[in-house]
Amino acid sequence: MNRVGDSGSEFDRHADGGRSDDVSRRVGDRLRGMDRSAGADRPSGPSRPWRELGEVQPVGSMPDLPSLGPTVPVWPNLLFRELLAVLACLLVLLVVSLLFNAPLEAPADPATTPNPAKAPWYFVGLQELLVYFDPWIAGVAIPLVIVFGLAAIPYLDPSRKGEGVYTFRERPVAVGIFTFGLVGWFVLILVGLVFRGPGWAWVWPWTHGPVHPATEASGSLPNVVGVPLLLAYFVGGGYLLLRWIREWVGLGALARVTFVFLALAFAGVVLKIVLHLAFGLRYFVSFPGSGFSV
Amino acid sequence: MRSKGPLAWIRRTRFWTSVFRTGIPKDAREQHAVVLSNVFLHLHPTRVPQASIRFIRTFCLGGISLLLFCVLLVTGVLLMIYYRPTPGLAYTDIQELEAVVPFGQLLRNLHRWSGHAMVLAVIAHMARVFYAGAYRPPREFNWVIGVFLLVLTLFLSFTGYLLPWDQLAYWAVTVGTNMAASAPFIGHLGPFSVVDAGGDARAILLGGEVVGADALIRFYVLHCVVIPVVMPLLMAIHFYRVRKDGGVLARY
Repeated sequence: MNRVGDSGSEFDRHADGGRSDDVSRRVGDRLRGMDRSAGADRPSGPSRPWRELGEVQPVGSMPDLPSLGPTVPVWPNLLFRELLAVLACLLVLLVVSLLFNAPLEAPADPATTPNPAKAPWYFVGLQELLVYFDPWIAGVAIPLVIVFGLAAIPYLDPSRKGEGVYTFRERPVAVGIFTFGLVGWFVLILVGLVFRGPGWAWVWPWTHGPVHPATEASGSLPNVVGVPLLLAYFVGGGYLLLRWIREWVGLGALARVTFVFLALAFAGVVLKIVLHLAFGLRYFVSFPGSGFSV
Repeated sequence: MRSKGPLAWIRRTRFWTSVFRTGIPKDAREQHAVVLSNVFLHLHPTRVPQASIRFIRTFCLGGISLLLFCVLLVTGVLLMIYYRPTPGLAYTDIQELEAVVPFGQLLRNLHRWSGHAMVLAVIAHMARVFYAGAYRPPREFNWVIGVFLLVLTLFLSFTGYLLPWDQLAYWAVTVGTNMAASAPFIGHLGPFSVVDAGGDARAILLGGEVVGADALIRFYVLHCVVIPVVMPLLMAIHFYRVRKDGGVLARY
């Protein structure tokens, strides 16, 4: 098996040991360097008059750091571009707002439920997940895990590749996972917005009425099978995945466990959708008494 | 040689020069001085690496998110003048805004489309930052702040969604907040529920068991006060950290 750490991928650059500590030291150096920049040992003169104006030293000029190339004054180079971008955006907004009116339907009526009632577009992906999961997973657990997973990204990706520049080939694992999630999110939104009709049944937008009647997936695994299967997935799968990534240098124990949990949760959601679509699977385990069904 | 004309005269008055103390920069020193001495411009350093201001580096996405937030603040404050958040008045206020208030329809359109555009811009900004690997140390926590700003942007949009009080608003928010009723432990429909419908997470959000007058005023306060106050605080930290960590391209 080709281990990630063996394949020269993004996770092995820490193999020279403790690059994270190295980073902290360099940041510390830089902060101390900022203090020094106020001192008299800095060259200053007519060639670089901005020194006297308290400019923070650009990082690229620090010793043993890669240079970022020549610098230009923010006025007018950057500010002109920003002004251009602002004017362009305002123009587009104005034109769109002149051409298209914001929707206003009939007054709110608690007695008349539209079918289907759809959430705002950015939450329709979660609503679409209700086809495959109970509300507590689709509407609570998954969004919480997504937000937590997004926030955790910098702590789970020890690679140093690509800092401010786009690097797709050099970190395929990270880019692959993120892109899959982002595209999947918008695919779910598209399906929910365009292809769901009354009763959340599948419709083709160019026809009237549903082509497939709304069907409820009925096949659930018996708990005798489902509970060991779910345990095996999270405990056994977690153990294997932890072994698989042990070559990833630069991740602490907590980060590894977090990564494995998020990876299993993400893959689990995809797996459940596939099993639902292919075999009509409803639940792996089901405890109707407590409402806990997965 | 002194330039002539009324505009040139105005720019030489003591009042004008007291407001704009550097004038239009004429040399390198003044170019730096104007950025340093202006509270808005000093969000930027005086000089940046030439490579970092290429359009492809950022697609201006963070700046566009900020611009849209500002547009939403201005149009939102104007909308507040014509809008009263009660079930009896909200919908008719919107109708009157569109039919009677000069440029009312345009005002509402601008606010609506800017809100949708801001959600898109913030998501695109996050994707750009990810693909650029711009969350590397020491910027990890600034990414976390960015994730919070994304969540707040979604809440900002979602709370505003209810305010027109039409069928679209009412049922979209009903669908959205029903999720809270399914939360484990704290939702009355969720697994291991320990609460009833009158005291669960959804009831706290809505001020009742259904979307009604209490929900409308709650969403109004969240939309017009709480979230717009919290977000600029996080944005200030967000921008300050970008600046202190060296801008778009810095490497350590």
